[in-house]
Amino acid sequence: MNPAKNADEPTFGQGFVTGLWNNGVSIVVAVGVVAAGAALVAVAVPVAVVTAPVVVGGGVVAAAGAAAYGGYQTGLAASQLATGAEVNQLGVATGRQLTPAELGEKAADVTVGGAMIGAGAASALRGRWAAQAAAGAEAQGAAGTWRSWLPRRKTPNKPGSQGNRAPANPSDPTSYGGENPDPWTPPPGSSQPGVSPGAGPGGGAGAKGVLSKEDQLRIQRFANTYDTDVHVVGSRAKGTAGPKSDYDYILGESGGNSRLRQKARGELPRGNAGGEIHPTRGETGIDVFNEPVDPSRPHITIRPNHLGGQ
Amino acid sequence: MNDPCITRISTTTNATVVQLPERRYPGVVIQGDSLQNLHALVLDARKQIDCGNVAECRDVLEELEELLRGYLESYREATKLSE
Repeated sequence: MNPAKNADEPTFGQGFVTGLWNNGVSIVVAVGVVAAGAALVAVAVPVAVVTAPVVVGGGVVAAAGAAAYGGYQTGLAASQLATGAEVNQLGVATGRQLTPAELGEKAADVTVGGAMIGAGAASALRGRWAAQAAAGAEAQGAAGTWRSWLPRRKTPNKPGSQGNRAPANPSDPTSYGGENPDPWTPPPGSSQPGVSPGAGPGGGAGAKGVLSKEDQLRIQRFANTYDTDVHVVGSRAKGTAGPKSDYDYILGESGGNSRLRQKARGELPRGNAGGEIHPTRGETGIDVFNEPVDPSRPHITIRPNHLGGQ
Repeated sequence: MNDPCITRISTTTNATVVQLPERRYPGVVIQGDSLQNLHALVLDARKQIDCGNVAECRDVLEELEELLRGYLESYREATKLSE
């Protein structure tokens, strides 16, 4: 036994007090981090429970475990780094001072602990995204905001107004939003109300699959007014819109009812060509389909947002 | 299959009126997605009848009639111009 070390060695009482202090630091840090992890889990859980409990369940458990373990390790290492005194895995001070090399290891522990916390958070978020994906993949374009995560609202259809038809086949040319290779021809009635001023040649409102701000606002206003989801499909959602591309929409979960579709034809943004043919005005630049959204195909969903006051 | 003998009569993007060489009268091109929508409306109308929802059935039929009339008017306009 080294006499010099014995002289520096703390008494039982000093070690006990140091241990308590270290435990306190460890527990406070760990509890704080675990609370953060739990908060992330809490965000994931509601979505998980509603949409994909099986998929997300594992993620939640992993998130809580990873966050807790990471937080505990970080707390232990951080307290030892601060005091230079060794603390065992139970958080009790051993009374020994750490060497510089050991302090370096503790610094690494802090890093690992942080990584574990990150893994916990990532797992929680993955759980949330997995739940969203299970509920139906949504294009993160114009509607790719927190609004997309709001609970779905059911379209006020009349009872039995929609069948449960299968979604359109992605490889089926009859699926919505077909491209038209024809050259640009100004259609009759292109200046009628509803034409988006920004949708000139080049597809100003959707060349990259992102709707213009003006279009977003108009669609949002419609969604709010009629309390329905509006799905933009076809080339505007795909990002392949050209100067003659129309706007393709699906309302609600399965196309909405007839009156709602008629409202949409008059109020939603439209292109300068293509679309349904009006008996007297010709091409309308808008298609409103009476079918469910195919989640495997590009679509941008805009949901009612009454919080925004629009 | 490319048939150079097909004559395009109208200049519209949708509901293009074409003349096939082997046919006496022109035809109207309906895009696949539009055709599917017309079919979906017919199915919906039938469903409303089955459910006894006459009002919605009438709305759907009016919607369908207007869309079909759009094609019909496009055809009439194109053939009138080509005469």
